[in-house]
Amino acid sequence: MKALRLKLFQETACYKKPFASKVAETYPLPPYSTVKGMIHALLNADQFIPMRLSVQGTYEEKLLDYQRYYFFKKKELSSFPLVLDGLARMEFSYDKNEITTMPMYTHLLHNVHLLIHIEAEQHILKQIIHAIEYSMTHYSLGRWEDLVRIDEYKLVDVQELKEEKTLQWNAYIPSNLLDRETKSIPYQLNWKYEIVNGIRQWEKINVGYVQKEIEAPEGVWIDEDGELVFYHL
Amino acid sequence: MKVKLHMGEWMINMGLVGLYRVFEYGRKNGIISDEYKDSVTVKPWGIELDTDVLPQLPKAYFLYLLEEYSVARRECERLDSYIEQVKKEENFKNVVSSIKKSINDTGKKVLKYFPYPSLEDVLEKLKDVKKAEHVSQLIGYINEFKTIINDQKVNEKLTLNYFKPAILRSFFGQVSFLNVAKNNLDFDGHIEEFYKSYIVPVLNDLIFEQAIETSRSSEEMNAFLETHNDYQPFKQLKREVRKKTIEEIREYVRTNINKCLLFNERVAFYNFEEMVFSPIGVAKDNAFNFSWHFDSQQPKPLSSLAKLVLLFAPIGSTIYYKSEGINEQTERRLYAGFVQTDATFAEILQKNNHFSQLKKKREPFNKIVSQLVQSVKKESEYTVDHLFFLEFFSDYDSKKTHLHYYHLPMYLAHYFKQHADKLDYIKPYDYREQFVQYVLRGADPVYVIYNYLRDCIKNERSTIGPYIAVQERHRILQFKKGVRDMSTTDKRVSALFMQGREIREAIIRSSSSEKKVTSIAYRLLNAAKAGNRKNFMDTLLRIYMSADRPISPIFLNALHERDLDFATVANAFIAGLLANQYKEEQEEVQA
Repeated sequence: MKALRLKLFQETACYKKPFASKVAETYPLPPYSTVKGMIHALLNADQFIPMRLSVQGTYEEKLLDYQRYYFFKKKELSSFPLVLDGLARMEFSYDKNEITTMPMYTHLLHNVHLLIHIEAEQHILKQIIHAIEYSMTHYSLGRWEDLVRIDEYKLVDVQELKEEKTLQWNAYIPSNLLDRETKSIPYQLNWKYEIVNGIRQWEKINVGYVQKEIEAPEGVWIDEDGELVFYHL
Repeated sequence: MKVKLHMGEWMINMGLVGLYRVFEYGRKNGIISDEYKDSVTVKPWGIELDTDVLPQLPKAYFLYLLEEYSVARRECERLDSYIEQVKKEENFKNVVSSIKKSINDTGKKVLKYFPYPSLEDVLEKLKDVKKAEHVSQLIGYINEFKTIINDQKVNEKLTLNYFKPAILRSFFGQVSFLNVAKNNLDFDGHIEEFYKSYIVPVLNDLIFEQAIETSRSSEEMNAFLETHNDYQPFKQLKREVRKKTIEEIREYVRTNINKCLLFNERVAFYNFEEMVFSPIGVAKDNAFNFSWHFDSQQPKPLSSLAKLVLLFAPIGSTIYYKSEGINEQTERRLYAGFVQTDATFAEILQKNNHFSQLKKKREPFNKIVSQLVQSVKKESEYTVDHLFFLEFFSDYDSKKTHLHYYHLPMYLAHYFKQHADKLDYIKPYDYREQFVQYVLRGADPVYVIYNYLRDCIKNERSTIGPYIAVQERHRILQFKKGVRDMSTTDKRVSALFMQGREIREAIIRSSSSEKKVTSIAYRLLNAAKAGNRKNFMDTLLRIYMSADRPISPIFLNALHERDLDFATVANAFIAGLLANQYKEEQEEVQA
């Protein structure tokens, strides 16, 4: 089966956890829903496109960033918070009864390298490549301000792994592939949603976050350049 | 009815550990009777809970907290230590004022709620204790006072008034029995309030789930909702489903009532927000832009069961004070810590029990890491990597949360395993704690070392501490690069330190004053802190010239950094410059 392999780099990234409102905690790697979202945004998709993903990566350190957050106290606002810091002679104010601000901590991953495999129908993969080559906006993953540098995009052949191999990257591996001996940090990652009662109800994928240099479990895949692949479905 | 409570995000794991601790405590102290002995069972994936035990939990919850934070116990411990000191005549004056203050403060709190003539009498008599010969009367008054605060009613009231604002408020704000309006409640009143706000909803929701499954007609369903008419979530539902058939009701519930985000199979009538778990939640009506499509009804659906489990989080975490900031800016903050690892629930429980015991023994943080690391029996090195700490300080009023998430990378686990004991030489304790915090965060502890050195210059401290800190930082950097043999690099650091000592002796011989050393140390430290190599080397060359000594080629590392980084070169030398009585200490360290 063919897959599109992306090698990405982000100087900073925050893949925010769903509950983390007052402190933005981050996942160690982007969850599937985030990667799916980036691809759908690239394609300007207005509905779900079936695909399988494999997410691996490393980061150097975790940092703490102290940021000003804006809180909307009303649904309808008479003004929108425009940040004009640093622009000369620009005045901007907003109604304190509508918007408040508070500084909050954000956890950031620093120097993130990602290896992502996308398996989808051939024409979809071609469309993604086209979108990468002719994108009209910057690429970002996670928060809008966390820019992505695409270091490589390549169509690769993926087959089942037959021999023994160790992981070169940290990775999300679906829990059903992990045996009891393999130690991992368990996460329930969002994948895709249905709108129920006005909010998104997510389909969850149980994965283990495993560190590199362990033995790959059975039932995983490998691409033509020897990179392991752990599809989430 | 049995429900499964699966482990998940850290806050729910905290709650599950707390729930189990309370259950265990209740069983041990006869609060939860034998018939419920199997109602909370540990499973690999979490806890299996028999809901029959729920009504027993509120009492066990409060009694657990009363014992854990007993004001009477802490006051008596403090007074006992004062009694030891006050017997010595030279301490009398100082200690007696502390005793008076302590008894007066607590005594006034008691009198606010309870009329106690004998206590008023004690407070009055205390005023006359002024001289050392009154010591035996004083001890008599103290004992009388101890008897009074050990009165169950008094201790209950004082302790409730302590742990509610100090511990629980930072987790839940002012909800239910934590609201200031409920301050006048007595012990039983608290239990009742807990039952009403947390247990009743769980029981109602679970019966509702069953009723939806098993009802054979819409009349049956409507009758059920009618009997629970006083429960808010059912009121609205009753209006909605009044004219529907049973199939339509089922369909309505499936498509209109969300499922819980933490326990996925439960219906969610609540919402994850500030009052459910304030360290990371925000109030939904003041933060529309935090939820998808500005939804304000229920942006993060939560079941009553998850809400109840989260209420146990303060008991599942370990609570301790930690100093943050340096010197004058030090602030003592109350932190809650938790050890999270991917293991069976039994193991998480065991690790956290271990952690809380160590904290009670006032073990420094780094010891905990190494002990925890070592306590893992024979798990592979890989497992070590999957131990991570999380600790947070949260202030409800200022809406501020600091959350540190320490993930222990491989090289650090190895480092702590082999060298953690060395860190004991970094004194005072605050610097050691900070040093370790920085390292665990993946940050460079060099800033702690700068402050530490400055402190040593200013207060003319002379300990082996700064040298050890420099050496350990360098070792950690080596570990990070994958170097495991420390002998060569340690020699280099030690050579620089020795150079510093020699220069110190030379300066003191020629000028016979400490002052000159101090001023040079300041100058070098400023250069090092600013990363100004040129300035540092310049000052260094001048010192060597004035001392008429050959300069060692090892200092070239400050420029090319082949074997040592600039900060290590500078700080090791400065540490040597500040050393005076190092001989025995150094031998001790090397031994």
